[in-house]
Amino acid sequence: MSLLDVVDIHTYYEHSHVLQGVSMQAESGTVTALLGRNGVGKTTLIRSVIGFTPPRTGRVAFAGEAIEKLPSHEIARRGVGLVPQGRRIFPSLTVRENLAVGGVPGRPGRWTAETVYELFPRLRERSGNYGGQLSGGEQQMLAIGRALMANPVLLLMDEPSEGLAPLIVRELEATMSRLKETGLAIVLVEQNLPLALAVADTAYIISKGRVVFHGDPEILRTDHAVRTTFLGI
Amino acid sequence: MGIQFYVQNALGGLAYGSLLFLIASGLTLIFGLMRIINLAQTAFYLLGAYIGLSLVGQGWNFWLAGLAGGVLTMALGLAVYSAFLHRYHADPLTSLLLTLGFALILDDGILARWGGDPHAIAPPAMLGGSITVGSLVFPQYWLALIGISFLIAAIMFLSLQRTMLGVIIRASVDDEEMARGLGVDVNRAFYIVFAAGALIAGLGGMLGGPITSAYPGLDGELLPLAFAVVIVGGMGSLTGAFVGSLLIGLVNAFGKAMFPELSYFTIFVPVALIMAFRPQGLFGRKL
Ligand SMILES: Nc1ncnc2c1ncn2[C@@H]1O[C@H](COP(=O)(O)OP(=O)(O)O)[C@@H](O)[C@H]1O
Ligand SMILES: [Mg+2]
Repeated sequence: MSLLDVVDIHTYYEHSHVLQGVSMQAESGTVTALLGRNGVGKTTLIRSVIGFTPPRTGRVAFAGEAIEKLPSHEIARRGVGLVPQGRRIFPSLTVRENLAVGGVPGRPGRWTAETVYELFPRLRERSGNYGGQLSGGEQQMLAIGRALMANPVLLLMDEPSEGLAPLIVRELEATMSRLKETGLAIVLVEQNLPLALAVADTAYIISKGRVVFHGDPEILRTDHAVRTTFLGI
Repeated sequence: MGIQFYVQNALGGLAYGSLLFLIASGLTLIFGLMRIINLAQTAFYLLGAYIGLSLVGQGWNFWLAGLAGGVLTMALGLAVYSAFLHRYHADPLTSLLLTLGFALILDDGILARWGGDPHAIAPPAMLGGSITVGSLVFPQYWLALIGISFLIAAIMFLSLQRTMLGVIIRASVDDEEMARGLGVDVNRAFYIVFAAGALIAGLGGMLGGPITSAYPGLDGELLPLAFAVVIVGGMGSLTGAFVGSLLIGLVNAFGKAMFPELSYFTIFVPVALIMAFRPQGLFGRKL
């Protein structure tokens, strides 16, 4: 049994049928990459798991229990952390307060404001600044730290490298590797293929709302046909 | 028009602005958090005033009567919220019509219970006198009302800035869906904010009563002023409601004194200026 088990979900925005029977799994201590061109439904898959846009049919099981009908805050409280696309830092909250909101589920574990500051010392320096005053890289650290504050067992990361300088992307890669070593399951949506290949243990490619490839990310390094057909690179 | 004219109207304006804040603070927070335009907010004020004056009629002390008026208004507000409104927080038009309907029902209920005559509300005896400074004479109660409203504003600010509940409310105003995704039970915050808005407006009815008195239709007169405050201050901003209330209170006082024939119109000068040059309001987030 996988930690996260998505089975044949169909997700809609009003009448637009975006996910058309997607299944995927994620395991503790691994990074699962979700790849695919823009607009194929990667974010919608993340939104389906966290309950923002619940699937109309299909199942989402987390730690063996069905969660697809639960409200988002219940899903989060069971240990699903979210680093959303665009970061979505609360601009009128300070760094410290953003982290406090992340701690709302009150799940005990290694992550506290203190250990988040140890992971990202820059955030400690900025702890009194408002979310709206941070640079892109700082916002990304805060988005990750905020999600960790709940001591999740599954971390959903949607394009964390978007808009970051190459040096910061390197740090992000190191951070993800460390998180993986703590036993966390990470589902990583990425446009940055080298980053995804560097950290992923398994990969899915999504095209037009369906999974068209699932397997070892190494294949993507070598198989030009798969890359050009589904990733356009 | 000597200095006396200005001081007198400035104090009167600040006192009136203080009672507007007790209405507009809830209005702006409820809108900012839930996207509900609560047209019943001034009816809450009126209900609080009537409950308070009835209790004073039975021998209650002014402050306790005001508090009881606030608490009973809050209970009614919560009942309406949990029975109807909470389902429509993301649906401004439906919730607007619901609160309008509720305001009309409340108006009729008040008319049936208390009749159509205006009721004066006396300030507490110890504050019933006036203060004389040289040739300047003004009611003691004006100062008391300004003081109390500033105190309530300070409590609201501290709750919003310094408590975890305040952090959660501000986060939910920023990005409600994200707050939910982090485990925040935003619906609970909705109940609390709606209740607090009704409580403060209901309490405001008694506190403002010595200035506005209580009569059917008062709520309809106050509503445009409260909305002027919210528009000038910026929707969802407590600071905006505070500054906007005092500004509208002052404009109202000086407008009535200097251009009595245009009194209602003068309020909308700042509103029009804000709409033209800073549509998000003085302290509102960019639209
Ligand atoms: N809130 C929304 N309402 C309607 N359609 C949406 C919404 N969000 C995304 N879509 C559509 O759903 C499809 C998948 O989008 P998304 O999941 O964001 O793709 P990706 O993350 O892979 O770029 C796109 O066609 C997009 O236009
Ligand atoms: Mg996306």
